[in-house]
Amino acid sequence: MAAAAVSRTAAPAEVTDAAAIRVSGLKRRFGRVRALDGVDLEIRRGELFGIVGPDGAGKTTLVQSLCAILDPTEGTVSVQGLDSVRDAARITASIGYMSQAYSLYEDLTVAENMHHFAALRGVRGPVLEERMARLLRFSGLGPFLDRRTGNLSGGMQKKLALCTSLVHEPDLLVLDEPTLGVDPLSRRELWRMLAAFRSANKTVVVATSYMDEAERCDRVAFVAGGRILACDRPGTFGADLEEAFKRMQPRPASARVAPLPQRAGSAEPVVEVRGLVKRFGAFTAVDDVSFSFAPGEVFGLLGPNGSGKSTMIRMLCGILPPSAGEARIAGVDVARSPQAVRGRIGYMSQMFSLYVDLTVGENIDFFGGAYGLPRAVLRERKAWVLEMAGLDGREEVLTGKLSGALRQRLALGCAVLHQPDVLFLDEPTSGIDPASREAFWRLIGAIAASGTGVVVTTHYLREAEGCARVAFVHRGRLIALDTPARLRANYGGGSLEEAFVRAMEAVA
Amino acid sequence: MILAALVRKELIEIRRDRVTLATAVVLPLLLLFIFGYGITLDVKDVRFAVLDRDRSQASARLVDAFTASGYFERVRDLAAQADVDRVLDHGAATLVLVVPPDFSDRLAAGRTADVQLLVDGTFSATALIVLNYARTIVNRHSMALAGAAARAQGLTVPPHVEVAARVWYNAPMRSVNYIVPGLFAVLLMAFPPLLTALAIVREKERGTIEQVFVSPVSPAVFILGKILPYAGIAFVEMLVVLAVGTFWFDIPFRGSLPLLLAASLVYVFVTVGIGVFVSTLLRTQVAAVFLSLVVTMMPSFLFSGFLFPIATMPYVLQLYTYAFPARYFNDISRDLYLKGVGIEYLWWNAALLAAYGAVIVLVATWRFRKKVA
Repeated sequence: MAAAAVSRTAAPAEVTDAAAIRVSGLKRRFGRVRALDGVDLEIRRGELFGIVGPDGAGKTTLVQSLCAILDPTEGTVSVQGLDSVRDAARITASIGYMSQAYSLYEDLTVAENMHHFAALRGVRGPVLEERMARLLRFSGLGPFLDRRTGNLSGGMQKKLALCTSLVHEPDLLVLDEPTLGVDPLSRRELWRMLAAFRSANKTVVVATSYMDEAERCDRVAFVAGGRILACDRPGTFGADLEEAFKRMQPRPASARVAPLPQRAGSAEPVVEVRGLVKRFGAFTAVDDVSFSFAPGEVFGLLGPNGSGKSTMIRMLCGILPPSAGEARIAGVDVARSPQAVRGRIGYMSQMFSLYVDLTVGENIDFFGGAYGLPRAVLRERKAWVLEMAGLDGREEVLTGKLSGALRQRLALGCAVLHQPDVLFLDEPTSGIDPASREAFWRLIGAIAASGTGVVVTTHYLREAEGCARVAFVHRGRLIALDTPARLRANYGGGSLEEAFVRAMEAVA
Repeated sequence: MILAALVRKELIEIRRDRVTLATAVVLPLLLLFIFGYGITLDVKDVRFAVLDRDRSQASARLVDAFTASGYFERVRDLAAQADVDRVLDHGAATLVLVVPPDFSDRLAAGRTADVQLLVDGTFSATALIVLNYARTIVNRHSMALAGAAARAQGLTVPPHVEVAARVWYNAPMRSVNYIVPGLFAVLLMAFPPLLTALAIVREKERGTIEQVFVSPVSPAVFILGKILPYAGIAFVEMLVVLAVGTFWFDIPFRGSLPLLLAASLVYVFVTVGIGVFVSTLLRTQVAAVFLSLVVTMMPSFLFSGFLFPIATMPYVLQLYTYAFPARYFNDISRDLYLKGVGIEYLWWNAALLAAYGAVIVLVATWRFRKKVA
């Protein structure tokens, strides 16, 4: 009874408080891990506030604490004057939240998801109709109302998720990496939607790994090791936010790359694709694609979600038979002898492909065994992978306990254990912080330098500058193929991302 | 309003997910048939061999008495003592009747004649029944012989006590009459809790539950939003197995149908409630499947009285059976089907069932917190 009385007298704070969010001395431990280690933060009403930081820095823990779905171990979080422990129900009832995880029901159609979330928020009648019409117009989801959500592209799903968290027009919207794995075009559209919502003087908190997104924020907090290392307007960090944060962050483990044994060189193209077509029923996923590249070349495939990049890669790997055309890897026809090809390629997907319940060493042994490496060779390659991934001496650590960036490096190591002729990387750096991405690209460079051809897809166009040549993919077709420098010039200058957006808009 | 939205969403998902629907309706039917036909405790057509060393009219009449009873099927006529061991060792026969060479001579001389019965006693319950049947046949045959002999000498048969046994509730002693009403309790415990637990854990696994956390949905409403649709499905499942079980297997139903349906409704909430409770303990669907099986399906087979009578269990285990609601419903269902009793005999089990359901849903609601960790 006493506690209830206290909380009632404490409640009026929300009237006078100019801060939308006030965090003081926030610590959160999971077992022995300190995810947040003393965070103080004040976010003002109406502010667009960015949270950036490397993998495992505690961004998601902070975001969940702000949403009152995670209690602090120590310290307090107050959201619009309400305490995140005592008044959690009132906070969660009013704010909007888009989690990093999948937040939609994929068996429901677009319209059904919208109506479901609106009903949970008590939005109905003419208000609902008016808001839905506006959200659908902004998101471009209008034509897909009856489509099953699971069949939408990644970008469209994110847009729908944003719509469902905006339908009750919350005063506070919290977004956890809303543009993760989303192509540049959809990313722009998501931010356009956010901008429209913002004009109504609402508070938005967004965690992101894109620095250009951080630059749009009123203020940015840089989080690392569970603390806020810096918090200010983006302009105060200098011209290049990405560089500024990279300097602030402790260097990711082993930026150095062990030299790779040089492969027997040959000038023959390592990948040759001619007139490749893939149809699924009436839908043409890959439409008459031709290209080739030499050993040691890094070849970038860039395109919106659902443009057919992954389908191309799966055909090149021999997992999916083409409907027409041919693909040759090191002179071998993939469709005719997929088995022969499989030993000559390495593949790493955006999906995590290691066994989280095995240790680092056991994972390497498993993949070495799967490729049939002789024991002596495996021992030597294992040492190389451990060094390259920065996992020296951590052979006994469970893979599930590694940070995302370290796992990706280990996965990369496992994919090249058998020294393949061609390495396929499908969005390998999705969700990884800029500094770790840079280190990862140095590894890609080293692998290519040893004579392996590398095919890579990514939505971080800044890193695609590291490719020797880049293809823009639109609806299963290559609409441009050239060096990044020439592509930038051909499409009106500026960054590769600007060139990409212009190229896409030109054909749309 | 929020509840309606949750239920509607759940129903749409169920409708689009064929596996759930199939699990809810087809699998229980499959089990119903498997168990309905598979589990039988009836002793019928017992394989029976004869070593007739007398080879007389008298011995042939005794053997006929066995085959005419309908319980024994004469599979083998043996020539020597060694054959007796062989047929029993091989399991070719369960019962062997040995008639000694002097059988008819002794009878003719008015002396007591012996016959030998050898039973395969590996499965003691069946062996006991077989032996009793066989003994009864021999006794009857012997009485008939004695009566005939007495009358032949112009005497009257001395008085004796006749047993007038009548089997109540299941007069033909068909075990399917007993199995099928018990099966309802087991089937409803097997699938609805599993499906409900999966429906909640799936949201945890996919991450959609975080959106539920950050919303005005309260734990009670969320849980009710899962219970109502799945209880609905479980009730439909109940109606299907009830109808198919009763009509296909031709089980007599003596009690009140409204009473059975009301009890089923209570039971369905209990089973779904257990699923909700299980889901509050777990994070992954695989774990949910295993835990559901361990806490629902297995105990309801073993400790509901479905196959093994609770009264014959050790006292401690008898107490243990109260932890599993299948036992309450099993009692209700069998009493209604076979005895046709009314609420005055059933209210105690029904009350226990309702209390069980209320407690488990309350505990689940209390355990469900809108927090990610």
